[in-house]
Order: sequence, then C-alpha cells, then structure tokens
Amino acid sequence: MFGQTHILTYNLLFAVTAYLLLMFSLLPQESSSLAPLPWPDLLFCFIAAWRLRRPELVSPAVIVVAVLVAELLFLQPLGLWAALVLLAAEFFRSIVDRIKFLPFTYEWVVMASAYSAMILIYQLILAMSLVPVPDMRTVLLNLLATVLAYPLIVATTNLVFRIRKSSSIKTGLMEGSR
Amino acid sequence: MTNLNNDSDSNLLVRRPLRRLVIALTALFLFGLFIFWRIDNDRMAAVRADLVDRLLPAFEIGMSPVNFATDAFKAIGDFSSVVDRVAELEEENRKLQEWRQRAIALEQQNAALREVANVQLSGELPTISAQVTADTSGAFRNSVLVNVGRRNGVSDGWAVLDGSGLLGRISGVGRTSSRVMLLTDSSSQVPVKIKPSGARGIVSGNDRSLPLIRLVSNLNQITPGDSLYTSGDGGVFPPDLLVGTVSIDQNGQVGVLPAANLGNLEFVIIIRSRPPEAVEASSDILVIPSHGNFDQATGR
Repeated sequence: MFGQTHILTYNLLFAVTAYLLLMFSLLPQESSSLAPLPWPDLLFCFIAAWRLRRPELVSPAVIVVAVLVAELLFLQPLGLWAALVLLAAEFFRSIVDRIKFLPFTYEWVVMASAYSAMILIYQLILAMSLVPVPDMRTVLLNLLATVLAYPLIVATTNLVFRIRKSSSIKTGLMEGSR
Repeated sequence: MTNLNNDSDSNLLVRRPLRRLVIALTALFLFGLFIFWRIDNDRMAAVRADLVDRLLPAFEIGMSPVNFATDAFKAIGDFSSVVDRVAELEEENRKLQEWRQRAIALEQQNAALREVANVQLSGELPTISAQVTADTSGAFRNSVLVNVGRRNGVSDGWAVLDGSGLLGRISGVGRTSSRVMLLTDSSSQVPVKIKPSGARGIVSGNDRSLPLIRLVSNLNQITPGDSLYTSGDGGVFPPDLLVGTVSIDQNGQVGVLPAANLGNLEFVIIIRSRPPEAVEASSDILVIPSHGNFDQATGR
C-alpha cells in the first residue's frame, strides 16, 4: 500500500509528534496539583492509536527511543516502561486485523485493558525490586486520564495525520498465512 | 492490490521470525537496563544527568519560540483587560484590608524569620542563582531542570530555595544542567523541626497533593499554622531553612503548605552545602532524625 519513503515519512512524523509532546510537557507550567486529573500519558495514547490502526507506519525502534527519552527526562526508572511499551506495541500489531472491522469501542477496550495490564505489571515489578511506587490513587487517576484521552488522540491521528484504519484486507491475508 | 505484493509477502514470511527475535532481544535488553539501573543507581543517575544535559538543548530549540509566544500573548492580554483589572484590584484591595490585620499579628514572627534568613544567606552559606529551564514534573514525579551544572561547581544533595522557602534539593548533575527534586516528589524526605513546639518530623512528598508530615515525635504538639524549618538532621539540608507551614485538611491529614511557590518557578537559589561526602546521591534514601528515635526509645 505504501512505499518505503511513505513509511519513512510517517516514522519521522511520529518522531516529531513525540518530540513536540515531550517539549510541551517540559515547558515551565502552573502547578498541576489542583487539576482534578493528572496529565494523561499522551505518548502511550499516540503509540496505541498508530499501532492499533496502521502498525506498519511506526517502527518499534522509534517507539523505544521516544519512551527511553521520556524516561530519562522525567526521572522514571530506566528501561522497564520502554520494555512494556515495546511488547504492547507488538501485541497491538498482532491483533490489528481482528479488531479492524469492529466498532471503535472494541479498540478502546483493547487499549484500556492493555494499559491497565502494563501498569499492573510495572507496579508489581517496581514493588518487587523495592523501588518506591506512587500511591494507588495517583496511579488510578492517571489510568483514568489516559483512557479518557484516547478517543481524542485517535481523532487527532485521524484528522491531522490521516492515520485511518486500512480498508484493504491485504494485511489480513498476510497475518492469516502465519 | 494483493497481486502486486506477492513478492513482499513471501519476503515478510521469511523476515517474521527474525523480526520476532529482534523484538524479544530488544525487550530483554531494556529489562536488563532496568535491572542495571536498579543495582547501580548512582552510576545510572550520573549517566542520566549527562544524557539529559545533551538532550535538553534539542528541546530548548523548540521551547524558546513557544515561551516567547506565551509571554507576548500574556502581555497583550494584560493590556486589553485593563478595565476588568481595575475592578478586580478594587475587590482585591478590600480583601487585603482584612489581611492587613493579620499581617500586623504576624509582624513579630516575620522579623524573627528575616533575621534567621539573613544570617543563613549572607553568612557561612554561599549561594548560586540559577534559572529553571524545564519542568520535568509528570504524573508521578516532581522535579525541574536548572541551567547550572558541574561546570558551575554544583553537586548532588545541595539545598535549593526560591525567594521565600525551601524548594528541594539537587539530584543529578550534568555538565551544564542539573535536576532539582522538589519537596512534592514522592521520594523527597526532608527532616524538619516544628516551631514553636520543637517537635521533629519528616516532610515527605506525596505526588500530587501537599507533602505530608510524618512525625517522629508527638503529633498533639502541632497546630495548623505552625512553621516548619529544616532540622539539619541527616546532614543533607542545612538547618533552619524555612520549609512551610502546617495545614490539616478535611480528612485529618497533616500536610505542609510550602513557603516556596512551587507552581511557576523561574529563578532558584542553590546553597553550597558541606563537602559532598556528607551527601548520598541516590534519590530514595530515607533520612530519619536520630533525635526523634531516641525520644521514642526512651519513652520520653
């Protein structure tokens, strides 16, 4: 469907999006502690939206680099979340054909359950390796904020980046022949 | 469409196992990185600080026009809403009249504070001023980056203030930038003494809400509005820096209203502390004031 240049362009587009996201969260800002919800994990929303729609348009390498940079900047434990995001991105890719013709709700549920599972594993591994974990309330609020943000991000990817579900069944044949 | 891509299809069939192998190896590598980070926290903190140092200029390129635009926008907004501002200011003035009464009552306390502050800042504790370049506070951690680093002689653990109180401490120093871990960060622990009661405790960060006081000595001795100062226990923070005031919320949680304005930081003051050997670089050490432990042990 797309040539190499197209794929390269979209990877670049994703990298620029990730750069802008990180840059805007780095801007000195008013204290967010008064907001009802914490800031959602928009980077993950973008990754999920691209990988659940057109997985071939953003390579895992770009995703891993983006998450690692975010981890470095925001004083997160190094590597763990990146590993989970990588695995989730591969999982999204593998089921993209099964949810392709289903309503958006299914996609949303997939994204929400994947993110919940990732957070659960993340917290468990952190707790097991005796890293101080954030309190449950913050974690749940962050989960809620991220899940609620997902449709907006999908709308953005649809309108701005034209990342729409592939209507051809080509990828379906490919995945089926595994 | 399908016919066109027969060639690449078979190509993909061969590439699929290889692809999986690469993904699995990358995931393993990342997990290994996490384990390495966990084991050798100090070295990774140094590596992180240096990498952030390199990455930051790339982000600053994008940030400067945005900062310029928001400043310009603010200036225009200020200018166009002068009439509204007058009404607002009149309202504010009425409120300030009430506050004036309170201010008189606090004047005495202020005089004492000023005295303490002057001694600290002009005397034995030299300072470095720095500008906040990036806000790295996320959903779980609270820190900012400032534009001074190893080049300027900054080292880990030094206390950071704004004009009115303690902000946090240096945690991670790169060549030209360093990270200030704020009071509100979940791994921030500051040993404090509470005036006037003299009780001691630890102010620990609490992600999103106000930092909490975990008291080592008696909880009954404190009332809302009491002032908190660093106690100097544990050797990380110099003693007698103003941290904030005690506040108790609806749930009965004893919290701290920081004296420093953590909301919109621009400039900070870094205090050169003792030689670095008194300081631990790792970000998650719990410092328990030995004094308080004695109190409990002896049952006093």
